[in-house]
Amino acid sequence: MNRVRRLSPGHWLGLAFLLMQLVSIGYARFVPERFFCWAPYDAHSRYQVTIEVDGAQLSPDAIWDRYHYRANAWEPRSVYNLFSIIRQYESTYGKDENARVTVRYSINGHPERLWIWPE
Amino acid sequence: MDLAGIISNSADPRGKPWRVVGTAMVPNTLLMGKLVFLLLLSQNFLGKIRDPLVPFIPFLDVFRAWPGLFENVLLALFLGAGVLLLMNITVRPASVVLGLVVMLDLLASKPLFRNHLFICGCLFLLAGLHRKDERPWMIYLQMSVIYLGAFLNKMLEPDWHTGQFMHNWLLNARANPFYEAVYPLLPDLWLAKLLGWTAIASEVAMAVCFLVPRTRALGVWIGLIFHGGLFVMLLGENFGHFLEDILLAYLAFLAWPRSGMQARASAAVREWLVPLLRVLDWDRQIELEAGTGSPRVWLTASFDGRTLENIAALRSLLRYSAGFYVILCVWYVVALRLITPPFGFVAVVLTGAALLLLFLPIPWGSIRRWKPSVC
Repeated sequence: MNRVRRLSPGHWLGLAFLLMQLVSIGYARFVPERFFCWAPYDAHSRYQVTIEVDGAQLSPDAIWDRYHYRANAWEPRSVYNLFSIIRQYESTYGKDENARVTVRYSINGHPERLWIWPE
Repeated sequence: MDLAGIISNSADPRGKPWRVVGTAMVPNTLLMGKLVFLLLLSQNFLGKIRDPLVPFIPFLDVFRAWPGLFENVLLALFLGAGVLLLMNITVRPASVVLGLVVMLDLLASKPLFRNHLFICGCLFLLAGLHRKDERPWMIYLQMSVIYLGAFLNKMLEPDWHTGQFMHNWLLNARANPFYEAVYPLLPDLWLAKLLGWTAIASEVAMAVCFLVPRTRALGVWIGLIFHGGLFVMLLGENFGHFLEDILLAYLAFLAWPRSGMQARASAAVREWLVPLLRVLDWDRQIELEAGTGSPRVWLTASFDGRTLENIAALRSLLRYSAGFYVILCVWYVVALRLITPPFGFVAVVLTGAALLLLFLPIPWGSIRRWKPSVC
């Protein structure tokens, strides 16, 4: 009890910060993305992004400029992090461009799958 | 010449970036913060500070209306707080600001999210929230949370149980020569399973050890061996700079002496110890005197009411000298960046192995005196 009384506002702030991380670890059990939940290298996915805007395919450099993510690489976190970025970009900044995005991906060496925007 | 005069305590640390004792932070936590700041600079973190792009908090998109504002404010805050931390001026607020800048930068840009940046933000923030008269117990909790998260996320992934993750990662993604050579000799992905379960077991062990005061040192040793083993097996892979972050975070587990150290050394030892301490003890917190009072004892070190002898004393003098860690960091960078591969990697591994042998709590004297009995 004395220890709790000795806690300063800074301590409470730090404990709240740590608690948020625990909540984030718990929340990650219910969503496929893995942000702020200490999940590095829990899945390793090979992926390739292609984007078509007005019938023209964007180059890998243009894809980097758009998402700040490489077009063709290994993803050492959840590949759903990438889908989350694309989904948010295309439904906000890129809303009026009507881009068609395709991601071919293979998680941990399993058979290849396809993720397409618009979903 | 008076040795205590050569290596003696001195006063105000402000404006002296090499000093870590005498500020508003625990010395080892401040040392950790300074080295993490320098690590981020060396890894071009400044280039990763930018205007919001696909932020976690949609509100941050408002800053896109003023291009460069968000980026330049964060840059100024990061550099300003970093310089204050290095110069030992308002170190606790500076550390908190550094943590907030890293966090805000991550929150403003989903594509930037990396665990090796997130951990830096956590370390800065929590280090700055501690008082100087207490152990950094929130950093201990932080380390436990990190390994708990890593353990849970792996434990609940079936591909970690079957070896599928490890097999794909080491064979397809990394073409690891050790794995390529050994895995065909064993059936049913045994090697991948063994490596995966070793990682899972190590992480849960660390998560628990960091929570319990008596087992924290054990947790650090498990971490050093686990991360060191990965570094060797993966031929220098540092996971962004997660490896360096973790090693620097372990500095927080040191119980730095509260009021300097007194050392006594034999004449032969003083010959090399005086110049060594000049190089390593940047805070001049070690007072070295002549003579140990016993021919069996070549070195003693006294601090916080206890006295250590010989190799244990030498370990303490190194362990509580800021220069020791800074020189190791410089050596690590020089070896990996400036020495031709693979010699730099080999040099780092040999240095690490030598340090493990020196610092592992092995009673070398007892082993030397031990004689096998004849039945």
